[in-house]
Amino acid sequence: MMLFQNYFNDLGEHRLLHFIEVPGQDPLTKIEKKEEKNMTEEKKTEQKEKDESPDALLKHAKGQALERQQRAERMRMEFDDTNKETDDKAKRLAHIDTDMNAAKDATVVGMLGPDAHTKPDAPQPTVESVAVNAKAESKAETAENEVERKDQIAAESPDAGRGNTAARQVA
Amino acid sequence: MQNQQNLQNPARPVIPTGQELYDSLMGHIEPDLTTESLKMLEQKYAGETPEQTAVRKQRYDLAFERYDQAYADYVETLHAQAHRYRRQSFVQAEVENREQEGGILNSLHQAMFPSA
Repeated sequence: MMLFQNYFNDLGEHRLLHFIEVPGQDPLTKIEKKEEKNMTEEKKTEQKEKDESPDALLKHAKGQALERQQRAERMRMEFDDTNKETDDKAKRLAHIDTDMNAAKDATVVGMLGPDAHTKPDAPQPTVESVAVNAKAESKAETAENEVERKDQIAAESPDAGRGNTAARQVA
Repeated sequence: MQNQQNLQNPARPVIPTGQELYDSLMGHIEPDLTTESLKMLEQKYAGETPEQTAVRKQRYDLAFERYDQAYADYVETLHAQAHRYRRQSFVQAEVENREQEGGILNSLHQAMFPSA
């Protein structure tokens, strides 16, 4: 294995050693990895110390508090809007009902007529009363026609008048 | 009687501002984290060791979790309140309308049948 490694080293192909993966036998790779590892750990430690410092904690707490306050404020506004909408709908409902009442009143007043409050209801005509009225009208009309006819005959022939007088004298 | 009174005057739910609500809930959970206390937190824990800070951090994290839970419960209550307010408002409008309608019908009835 050493021969194999030296062969590559002699050729200057150090990078190929990364692919061969012989841990602990390549000083160059080992050193690099160690340095990287050390740097990451240092950074992590620093970050951890930073995160756990009182300042960071205070900043974190303030941020969290502010976020929650803003969320509560948004919620309040949403509920305010919902309640306002409820108020508007209730008002609209009352208006609709009032309009409906006005329409109903107008209909009732229209049906009863303008004198509904001052005059009693007129008697409704029945079938019998209509028939009696029709018969009376017919009789009156016949009598009128008869009188007219007699007057007409008398006007057209004056002899008929005289004949009547003679007949009365004979009698 | 109380129900009737509530029916007559449905009270609109009062919702506190974001800061008021936060302070109100957090005041019961972790007084250190209320808006006013946060301003003085630096002075209060000036000579604190890192271990103490870590413990405090854990305490605060737990407090925020508990706050979130309390906040969710409160929002649920608000939803119920808003729903009740909506129902009461509509019922109230209906009752007022019925009263008005009843008055009109009475006057009409009296006009039509004065002797009755």
